[in-house]
Amino acid sequence: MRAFLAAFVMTGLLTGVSHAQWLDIPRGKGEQCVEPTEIMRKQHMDFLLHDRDLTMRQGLRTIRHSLVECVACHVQADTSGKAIPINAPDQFCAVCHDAVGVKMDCFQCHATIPDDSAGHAGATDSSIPESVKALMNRWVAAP
Amino acid sequence: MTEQDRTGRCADSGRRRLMLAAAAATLGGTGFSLIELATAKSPGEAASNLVRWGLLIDTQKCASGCDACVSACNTEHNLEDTGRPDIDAQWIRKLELVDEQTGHADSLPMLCQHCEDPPCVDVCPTGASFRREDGIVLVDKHTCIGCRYCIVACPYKARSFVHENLSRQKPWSPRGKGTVEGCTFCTHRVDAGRLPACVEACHDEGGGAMTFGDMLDADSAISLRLKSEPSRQIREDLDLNTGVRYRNV
Repeated sequence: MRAFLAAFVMTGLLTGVSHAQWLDIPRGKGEQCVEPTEIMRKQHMDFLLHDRDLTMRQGLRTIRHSLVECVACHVQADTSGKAIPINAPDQFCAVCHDAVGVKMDCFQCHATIPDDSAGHAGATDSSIPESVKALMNRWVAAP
Repeated sequence: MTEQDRTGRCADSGRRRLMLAAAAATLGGTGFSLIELATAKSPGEAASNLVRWGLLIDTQKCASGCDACVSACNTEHNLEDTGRPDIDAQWIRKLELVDEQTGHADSLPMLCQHCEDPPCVDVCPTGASFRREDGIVLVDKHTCIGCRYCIVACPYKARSFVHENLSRQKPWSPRGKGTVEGCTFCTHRVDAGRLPACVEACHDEGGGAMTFGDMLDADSAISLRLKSEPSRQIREDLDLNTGVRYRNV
């Protein structure tokens, strides 16, 4: 029964049905995510898995798929303006993961709220070499 | 293998030196190397073996009671006090060395020495301990299984183990229970052309005992000092070619 429900919810998510019909997913700050929503729904874990190694092992800080940037864009604030951890119930990451029963371990180590103090280079540099762009686009399906 | 590698790396760095010659000339031998760092690597560029980050610590300028570097590190990476010093993470710590015969005391900070041939990397069974191309030795916590061989292997006792669940980590410094960690030379800062937190704090609040820079760039502040002044590696008998060098010890 649980498997059936999970499949049911996933089908709703993956076929791009308006999210409000199924789950109340908080929206990000910008107009558009780093990839089309349909691709992000299915492949965000691949993007994160691949690009984490680029940053960790090679020190590339301008990767497009950065967990820090996911959190910075999708985090919600409570009524007093304080950031709510992104993995808290009903928050961006938890909504779907709780619904389909998939456990995340990202946030055992990674920060769940942004930190405004200086320190992080951020993904703002537009001068990314072509070789790195090719690596970053490895997981993106051809249009 | 090491001798050949070192020679090869130095030969490669000649080209880099040529490329940077113009930039270095305009710097005019500034004592502090913020600008030099900024030219070293753009955030979109991979770490390169034409750079080797190093740190020179002048123990004569390192005051016994000063722990500016330690508190800066703890703040930067949110290494919180657990209330039990036995299990607190220590990425950098102050040591007092006393000559038993004369009573002369030296004070110095001890941290990951970012060895060229790191024992922690040799013993790691999963490849989680690794040396980045630019010489910074790191733990990839995605693959660390918490076996702690590296903690045993490190001659400098520079690594810590996270024993408990954590929260409030910094976005640039992920830390979690069951993994080993240690000084990262503040890669997030270095990659952005800034100095490590300890070096900045030592300059601003401490005695200015630390010089950070590219040891393969002959015109960098650290290279010039290493060339003109005597310095030592701790446990140089182990032939690890450390990235952290000490003066007056």
